[in-house]
Amino acid sequence: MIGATDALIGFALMLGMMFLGVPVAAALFLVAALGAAVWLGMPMLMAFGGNSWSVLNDFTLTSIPLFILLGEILLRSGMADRMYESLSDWVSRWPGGLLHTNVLASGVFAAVSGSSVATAATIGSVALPAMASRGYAPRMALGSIAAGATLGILIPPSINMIIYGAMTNTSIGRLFLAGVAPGLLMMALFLGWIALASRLNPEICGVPAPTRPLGERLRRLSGLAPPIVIFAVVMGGIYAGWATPTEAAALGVLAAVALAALARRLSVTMLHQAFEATVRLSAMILLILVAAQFLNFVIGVMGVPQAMTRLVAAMAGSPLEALLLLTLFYLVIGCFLETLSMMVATIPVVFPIVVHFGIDPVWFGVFLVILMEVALITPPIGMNLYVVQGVRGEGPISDVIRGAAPFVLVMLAMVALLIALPQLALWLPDRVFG
Amino acid sequence: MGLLRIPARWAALAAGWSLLGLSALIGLEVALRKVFNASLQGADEMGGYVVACVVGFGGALATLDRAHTRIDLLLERLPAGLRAGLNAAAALSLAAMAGFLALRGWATMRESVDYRSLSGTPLQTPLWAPQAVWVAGLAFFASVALAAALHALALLALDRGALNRRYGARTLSEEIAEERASLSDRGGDAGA
Amino acid sequence: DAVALRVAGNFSQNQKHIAIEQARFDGLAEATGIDVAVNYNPMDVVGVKAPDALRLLKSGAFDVMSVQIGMASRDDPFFEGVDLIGVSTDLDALRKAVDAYRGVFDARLQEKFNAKVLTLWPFGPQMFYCNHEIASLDDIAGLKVRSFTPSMSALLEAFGATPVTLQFSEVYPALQKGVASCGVTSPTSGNSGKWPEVTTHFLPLSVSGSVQGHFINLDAWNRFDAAQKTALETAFKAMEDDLWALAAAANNDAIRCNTGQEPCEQHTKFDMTLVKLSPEDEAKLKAATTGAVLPIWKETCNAVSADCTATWNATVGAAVGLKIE
Ligand code: NA
Ligand code: NA
Repeated sequence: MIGATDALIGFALMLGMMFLGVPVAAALFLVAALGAAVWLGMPMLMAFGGNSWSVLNDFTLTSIPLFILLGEILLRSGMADRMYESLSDWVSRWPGGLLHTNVLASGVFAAVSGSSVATAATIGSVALPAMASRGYAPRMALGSIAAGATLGILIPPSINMIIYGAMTNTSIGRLFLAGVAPGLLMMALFLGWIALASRLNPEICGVPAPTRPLGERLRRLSGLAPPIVIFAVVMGGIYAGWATPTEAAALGVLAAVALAALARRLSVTMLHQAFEATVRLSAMILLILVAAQFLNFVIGVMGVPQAMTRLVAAMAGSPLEALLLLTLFYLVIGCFLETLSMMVATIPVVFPIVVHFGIDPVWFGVFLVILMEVALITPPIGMNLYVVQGVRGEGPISDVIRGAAPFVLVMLAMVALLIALPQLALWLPDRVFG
Repeated sequence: MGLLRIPARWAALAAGWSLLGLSALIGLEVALRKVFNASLQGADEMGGYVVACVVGFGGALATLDRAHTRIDLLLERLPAGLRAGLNAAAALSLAAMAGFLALRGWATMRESVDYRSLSGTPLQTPLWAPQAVWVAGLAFFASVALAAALHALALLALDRGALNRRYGARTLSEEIAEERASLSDRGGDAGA
Repeated sequence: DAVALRVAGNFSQNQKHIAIEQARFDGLAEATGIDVAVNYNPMDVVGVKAPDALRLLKSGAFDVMSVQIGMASRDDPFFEGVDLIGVSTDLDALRKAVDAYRGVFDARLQEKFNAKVLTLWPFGPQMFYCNHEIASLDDIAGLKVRSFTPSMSALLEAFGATPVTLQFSEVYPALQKGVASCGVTSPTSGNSGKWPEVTTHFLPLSVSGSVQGHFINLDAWNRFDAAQKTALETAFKAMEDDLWALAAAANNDAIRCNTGQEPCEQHTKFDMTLVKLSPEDEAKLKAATTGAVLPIWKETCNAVSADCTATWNATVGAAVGLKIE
């Protein structure tokens, strides 16, 4: 058993290693190995092999590479690009024009992709040239893409939710459904902010695209078919009781392959590119998870989560105070840490606190994911900011940061709404799963 | 080091095909259950094995392509000499983790052989079999990570500029360039 | 100096069992008069997976572990012999079987895994929760039933049902959505997992008792002198008795609560239909056990040690009147 001070020193050591450029997985592992060797003895350290095998054998994790593969196949078969085109036809006359397309396309892409960074890269690559050529003000354009893309981890499927579910034994099916309503509401709030901003300040919008004839617009709607089919297969499979969430991911992969074949984009070369990217990314994520679960094993025996729970329980008198404390905590470390690392490094300590205060684990999953979305667009480390800036390839990054700032406020409003109305997240899973 | 990328890519492609194969197997299980009221009783178990093997077989490629997540906030602002030292340390730490994982994976597999352990599932898979594939992947990953670490150490003595180029954190512009390349691969004329 | 004992307890979801463990370990120093410092955590809290238990005990990573014997038998099917599917259909029979097997079980554990038995006790009878109209055991033929072991699959197939494999956390949604028609667990576990919300018929046919145990690493054990060992054995015997009593009382209460009967005191009340068991159902279970389950175990266990079934016949078999040919 160790005290809160020792635990905080260990946490600082881990962050220190990460900031000195030690790969996140290795930093988690080294802290765990040090703790095991110094406090618990060699047998605990030697348990790393068996522990890793058991962690990887958890069937819920199977869905991570499958959802990544599904997104890669869709991306590489050009479906994301056509989806953006068909959406832009319909919203070009709304106040804010193409800015709405960014958010809507992000939302639709989010429904087939489990990652926000992939969503930002895809939508950014497609949208930025279009927006620049029509003279949209850069800040708002960049901000709407960076923020819109964060929907990727809130609207199911979501890799972050799978990881949260796997680490806390929370039903992935419930988590996915719990993300739907908050995801749609957040999308609506984004659209509302865009409409308001462009009313107040019409020059942020560029020249509207020429309206295409209705027939052509309807024809081009077929670009929306692939994401709708995939979403229907994945969520419908879960909802209708044909498949567990992991199985649904596999069905999604099969559907993506079939759609790519229909679009005549299926080739061994394309598949191999998708495989390389999928396996590389999955191995990276899984290695971090293996290290994080070993750290969980070690610090659990050392009594760290228990000590931190006592500390927070002493500071916060009610669940609401605990949530405000956690919000503040994640806002601050969210500025500096990449979201996956932040989740795996904090869940083992934070989740016992959540349980202690009697907070619903499914609801907390949604709450946590929204705070991860905030972290994706807060400087200095906000992956989506960098991805969007990188896709843009010119001008100062402060444009992206400032453009995204109002969306941070919208997200925080969403957090407040979620605390005030927990049913926003829980109604749908309760309806479906009872 | 460039030569190592060829087997690393093959390993990743093998893992990719097994993911696709797994999807087909799970698809079959779902169809059998729904339509024929039957079950393979083991698609989930196979999924666990495939995922375990992805770590090793994909870990090597992730190492060579510098895909392991690193936080470069501070790193980018440091003088090149110090950065070279930290990049070498990063390569070493990854090799240490991969090496230890491979050794402990081997020990885990040896125990399964000694006990003749069977998966406690209807398939009764002899555990050593999937664990052998898992350990082979981990051993490959560890060898690649170790080779990279030794190379980085050699460069630390010989050519720090090359060390920072080859073992530095992957910069965003590199990632974006790849994203762009993939966009043009798929005929990216979109967004008009 | 206090003797440190690192303990991995049962799953934190099993709140009543955890409460008993926690109380007994907290009071261990007082009960035995030995200066022990216990570091107790439920196994899922520290990220320990149930199948790894025997290896973690042997290596000395933990001094004492709460072991799910069905899962841990992955590393030696001999241990599964304490509670084979269909052998002990009520708690009295199970206790006889457990007591008959305890000696050979402990000897094997000491020899192969450097650990000693402190307690052996059941979660409680494993019974069927179905979301399908059922009047007798015959009606589960053609239904998809969640299975998690080879013996369970063999039993279900003998009943004409289709065994399907699902993670435990997926069973509730799977029952609700009809991915599976029946799940098998104890009345208390099913009740606390809210299975009656998604199932309609409760078939109280007990296929096993889900036996658990507390084992101690021998090196840790041998740090104590003879008098201390006796005191520890007494203390753990008391914990074992608590857990048997819990299995008996809690599961009867849970069956009444699941099926809307009174008195229902410690569980959530539901209104499942209680299927009435007939002597034919019991006979059918016995037939499936001798015809399908025992031969499978014979094959796997004798492959690891040739005298496996002979030992079983002389102990459990003699106690319950069964013989593996
Ligand atoms: Na998503
Ligand atoms: Na941030």
